[in-house]
Amino acid sequence: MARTKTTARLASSSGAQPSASAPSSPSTSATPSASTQPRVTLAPQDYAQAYKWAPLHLLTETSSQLPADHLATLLKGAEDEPSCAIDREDDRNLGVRIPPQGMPICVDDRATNGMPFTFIYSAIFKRLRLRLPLTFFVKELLTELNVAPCQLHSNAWGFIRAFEILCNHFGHPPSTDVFLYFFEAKNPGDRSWVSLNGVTGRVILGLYQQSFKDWKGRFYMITSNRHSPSLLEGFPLYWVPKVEFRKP
Amino acid sequence: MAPYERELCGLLSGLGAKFGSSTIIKHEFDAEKLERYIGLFPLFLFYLPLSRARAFHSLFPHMPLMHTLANYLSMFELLAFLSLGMLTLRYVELMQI
Repeated sequence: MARTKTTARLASSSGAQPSASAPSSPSTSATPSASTQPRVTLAPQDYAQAYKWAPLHLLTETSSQLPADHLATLLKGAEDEPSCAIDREDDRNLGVRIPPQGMPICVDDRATNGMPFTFIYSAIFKRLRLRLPLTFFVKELLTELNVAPCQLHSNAWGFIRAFEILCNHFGHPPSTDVFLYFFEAKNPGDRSWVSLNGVTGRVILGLYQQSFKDWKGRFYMITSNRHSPSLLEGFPLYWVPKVEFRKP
Repeated sequence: MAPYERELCGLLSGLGAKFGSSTIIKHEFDAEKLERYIGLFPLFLFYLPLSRARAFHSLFPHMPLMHTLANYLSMFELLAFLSLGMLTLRYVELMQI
């Protein structure tokens, strides 16, 4: 059973960075409504004050390394990066934008005047082919682990994506309980990002890459318009401080 | 766990192989390649005692019986079963002569 891949039709804008924009083709882009534009209410120097719990490396983790055409290639798909795959029916109701300059990964909606959003690393879209909106399984797993999408290490996303594909291949809906039977979360400690490991004796998937590099410092801000607020519901949107996992 | 989750657990455990996440993600939209990778991968590891007869499932993906066989029979068990069946048939044939 072949699954078809359609092109993204996401509302997009560039946040505070001027040059990233969606492809201009009318079939592949939609104009974002005014309500989806985040209004930044915190100045860069305020972040440390507002998020006192955040260590320095989180406060300095900003999406500053994205090249200007990065978002455009995500939405359009480039020759060398054919993995652009944001393909669901709700794509008109979601916005993918480059976050305002200097906005750290650990902020919440206080920084956008109450407008909900979440951050997702660009590598998760480009290399692991995550599509929006997130599936019920992914939302449930994030809720179970109590972590935001940006809080998971890219290799952990590799496990999640591969597990989903594997389950779909066998005609079973992916299940959080089954996933957590095979994988366990590692306490992040000082590293901050949460990794997943195969449970000893139940390893079914190998790491996406032994050393997953160049994913930090490149993330997108995902927003939804007021017609479909549920697209960003059902999972932790913002960085959860001090995550701890107990061994079952 | 719900029954379908237990079934999925058994199915995934029964694969008896460690698949590459990158290969699975790479073949997400190519069902044929994915089928070949997941279905035949354990064939190369059939010498492992716990490897399962997933290849049969890939040949008959919609047959519940084969699905069950793939779950519960290892390659060795299946080969032994087939050999025994063939020997029995041969024995019956000989006896008739």
